[in-house]
Amino acid sequence: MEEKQQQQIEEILERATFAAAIFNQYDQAQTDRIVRAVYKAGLNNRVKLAKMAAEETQMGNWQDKVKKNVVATQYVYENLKNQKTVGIISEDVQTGIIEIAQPIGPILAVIPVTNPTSTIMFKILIALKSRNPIIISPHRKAAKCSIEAARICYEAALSADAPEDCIQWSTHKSREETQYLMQHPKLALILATGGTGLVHEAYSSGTPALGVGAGNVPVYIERSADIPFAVEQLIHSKTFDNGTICASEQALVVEKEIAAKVKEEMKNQGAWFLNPEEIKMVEKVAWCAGTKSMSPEIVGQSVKKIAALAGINIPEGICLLVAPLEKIGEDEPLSSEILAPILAYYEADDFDDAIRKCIDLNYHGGIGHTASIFSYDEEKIRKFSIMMNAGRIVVNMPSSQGAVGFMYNTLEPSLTLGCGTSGKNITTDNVSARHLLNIQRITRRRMNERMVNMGFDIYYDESIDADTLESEFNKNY
Amino acid sequence: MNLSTESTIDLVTCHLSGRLDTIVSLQLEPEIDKITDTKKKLEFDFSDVDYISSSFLRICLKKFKELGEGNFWIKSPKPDIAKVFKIAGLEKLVQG
Repeated sequence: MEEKQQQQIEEILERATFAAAIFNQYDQAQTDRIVRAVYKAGLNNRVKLAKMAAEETQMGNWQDKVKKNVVATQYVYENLKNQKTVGIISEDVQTGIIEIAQPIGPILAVIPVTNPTSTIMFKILIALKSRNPIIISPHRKAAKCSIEAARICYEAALSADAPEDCIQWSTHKSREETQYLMQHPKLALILATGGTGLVHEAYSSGTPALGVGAGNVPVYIERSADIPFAVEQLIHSKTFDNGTICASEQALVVEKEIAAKVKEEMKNQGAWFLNPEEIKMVEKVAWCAGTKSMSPEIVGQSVKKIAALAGINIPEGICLLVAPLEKIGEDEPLSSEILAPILAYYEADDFDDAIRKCIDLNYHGGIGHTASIFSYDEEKIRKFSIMMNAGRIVVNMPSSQGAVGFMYNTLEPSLTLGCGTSGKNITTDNVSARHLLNIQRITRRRMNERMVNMGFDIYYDESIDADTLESEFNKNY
Repeated sequence: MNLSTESTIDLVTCHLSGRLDTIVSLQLEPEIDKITDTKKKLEFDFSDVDYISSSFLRICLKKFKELGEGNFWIKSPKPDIAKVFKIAGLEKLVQG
């Protein structure tokens, strides 16, 4: 890396460090004024930024990107607005514990190409709410709209007296520069949303990171489900922004007994079931054998465009391509995560077989992310959920919107969905402002009654074993 | 006013007070520049400062660079302000 680039990164970090220092003086009311100003500016620019993102990335459609921008601003703000994030945030007289929220310091936000402007506004809001400066690292294919989103937020923040440089953005950085930035000792945290490689780099940098894993979301329509409703929700979710949300359904599993009804309903609602020959043709354009992952060419593209690329003829009005498959795994490319309106489809013999298939799908590249079930059988819902390795198991709702939170459930609205240790993440939570705080605890003297009553002398007698010590410790308790 | 100054043969002291926000900092910068004498040491008395903005932090850094280590320092900041310099990595600017 050249000296000039290195110097630029040093300057970015120095400015961010100064901003962190100044931010430390802000109280809750000042902080909330900044967050409110930024959310309003983001919401006011929802359409402009959505159109810019759709135009620049050539992925998805602007209308759905408007919805994402609304989630990232209005819904996120509604969730954050009454949260205490500055100074003393809780006080429990009984336990004698007082919690103090402290900012963590400069945050590097890595932004994906699939949801650029919404992810930026979301990350800026949670960073500012926790009094942390943020450095936006946009995807090179979404640089223009990303920088515009960051600029709009920064202007609004300054108008509400935020510290200078509380929001910065970098132009495209080489891999080496990004690594240098990630490893910088002045950086407090990396908020990494993007491909597996990039998230891995963030976690390997030595700087604390909150990353997300890849999804390969199975959706199970169990026999007790309301089939027309389930199909409608599934199609709405899977086709949203042409499938760019990582929590969107990737494979449908149905029991044979209800398969005919589900298929008929899907066809009625605009799904096209591919024949084996068509599956091979779609596979060729949707899958990159070299990288063993989805082809960037079809990410966020419409069914019409994918069909044209694959050379298959489909009637007008089709919104989803469905690939009936048998196998799950590397031999069956369409059983992997494909962020486009292409859905794998499996028929299972019974509940146990369906669960087995969902486990296979879940563990095939989507471990820790999200799983979905449509059912009214509580016992089966619970069994399914325990069997899945997923941070979120969404029930009777579209998984794209369900996993993101706020709209269909009470999960925190977030565009950074933790996938737990199996997904190589530190949390399964929907990441929000509370994850960007260091919580300090003041603890007051509260002697442990059992410890006082027992005393310590008994421990010196080697003949007294653990069972006796346990019973003595809990005597009269 | 947020600034009063006194000068000895080899030291200029700026007594600053209140909130040194962006607007105040912009007003103070030319005044501070005017009284800066590269032949004398410069001291910012911070004992009555309640808030410091990024702009004022930048003025401090500018003076430090202009005059060099040992010739510019900040005296007696309140703990909140001392912490700002600590977080910014500029504790070398603070004296006592």
